[in-house]
Amino acid sequence: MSEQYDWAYDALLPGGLYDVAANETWLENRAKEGFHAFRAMGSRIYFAKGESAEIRYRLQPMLKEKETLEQDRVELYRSLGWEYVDAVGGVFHLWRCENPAAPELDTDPVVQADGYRYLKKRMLRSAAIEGMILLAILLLSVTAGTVLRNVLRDSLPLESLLWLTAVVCFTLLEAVNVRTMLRFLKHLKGGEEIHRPRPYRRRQWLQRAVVFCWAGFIILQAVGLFWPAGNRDMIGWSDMANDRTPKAGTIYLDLEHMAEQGQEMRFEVALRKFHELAPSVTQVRMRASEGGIGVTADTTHYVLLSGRFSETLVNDIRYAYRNWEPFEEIPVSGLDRFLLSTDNGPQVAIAVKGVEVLEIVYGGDTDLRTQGAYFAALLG
Amino acid sequence: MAKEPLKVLTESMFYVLLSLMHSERCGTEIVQYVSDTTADRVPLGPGTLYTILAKFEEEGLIRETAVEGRRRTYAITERGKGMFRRELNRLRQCVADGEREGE
Repeated sequence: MSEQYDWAYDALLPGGLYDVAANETWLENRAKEGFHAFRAMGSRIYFAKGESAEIRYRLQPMLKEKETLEQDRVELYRSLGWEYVDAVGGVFHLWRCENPAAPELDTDPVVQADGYRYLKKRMLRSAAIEGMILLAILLLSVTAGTVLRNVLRDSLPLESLLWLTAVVCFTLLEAVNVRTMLRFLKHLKGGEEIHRPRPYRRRQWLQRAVVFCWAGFIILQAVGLFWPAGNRDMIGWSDMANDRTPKAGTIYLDLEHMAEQGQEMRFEVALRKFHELAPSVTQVRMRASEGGIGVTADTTHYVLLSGRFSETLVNDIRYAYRNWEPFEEIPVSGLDRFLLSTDNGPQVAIAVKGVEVLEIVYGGDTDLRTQGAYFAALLG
Repeated sequence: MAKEPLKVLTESMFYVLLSLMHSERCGTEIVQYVSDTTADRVPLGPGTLYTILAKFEEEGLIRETAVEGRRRTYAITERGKGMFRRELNRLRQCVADGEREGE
């Protein structure tokens, strides 16, 4: 059939596989625009350009798995004005009729509903399988972690956004598919005929969103997995200003990933992320001896871009000391927060005032609990 | 897949069985018969006819008698005749009830 046309293209059924009326409406609208379905592969329909025509398209469910079309059936349909196009999605036979005087393909809704038994079972089965696959992917992505997840999770929310959008749209589409089919069968069993035309554009957009998001997500995953090892750091982030001078900031090394990969703990091979949240970071390390006892104090002073970054940094520091005693929150005048944790001797204190964060890791006799006012005086 | 056995016939089913009561017919002949008998009151599309024939055959109400080229001929079975008579009685009962109570 395609030989008589200048060119052809293909497109997915807009109503999923199971919104029969929407898909038939779409095929008929395409024919009015001069695009005629002549072949199908899965849920993909191939159109050829021709003359605009009023053609009826009907999808008839297969009565059993891999039902083959016998020639006498094709002849019977042909004698009543219906030509066979192709099998669609392994569950439908697609028929077309150019003769407006020819009878409808299905004239008895109750009989038609009976023909949908196999399809209903198959639809529910595929919805269950797809749901399980979705759940498995979700669990894997949460628990396994990927290079991309390690490197980009914080810096590029696009991956998570695409993933979430795809999951939401996909779930919505599945729910709509199941609901549409159940309503459809209910109507048919009640003796109601199928209502055409049926709108399909909203579902078409939803379907496009799923395809777009899945494709984007997969591309991002591939980029993350196959990005050359030497360039894995700084993806989406740069520690250089436009004039190639270093910027003030914090470089995070993914030591956990290196440990997982059994790599040597070296800066050069580590997955790195540059965090410009702290334009000013000063660290002072002091070592002293008092009466023969060593005293250490490592003080890091961060000035962040916003109070929100302060909170993030506090959480990061707390996480770094998660194996120590739980942080105790101590109210100190002049500080937004003052937190203290110990580990059988050494102490770590976090003092926060607006966009400033002071992190003190101290080993000595002084109880930092009593030094809140001193830290407050250092900040702001 | 377990199907529910037929208890009541739809109008299309009724006329398809009726068309086979006295002679064997192929699909197009059945359509023609129903069209003539009902004066086009009961349309019978090819999809509906095919589904009915498949279901009737599965339930043993009809059987295939001959395949000549692209033509398949069907005949009604004793079980099919029984089903038809039961349906006819049910319809008679409906009409009698309707005439007695509804007029």
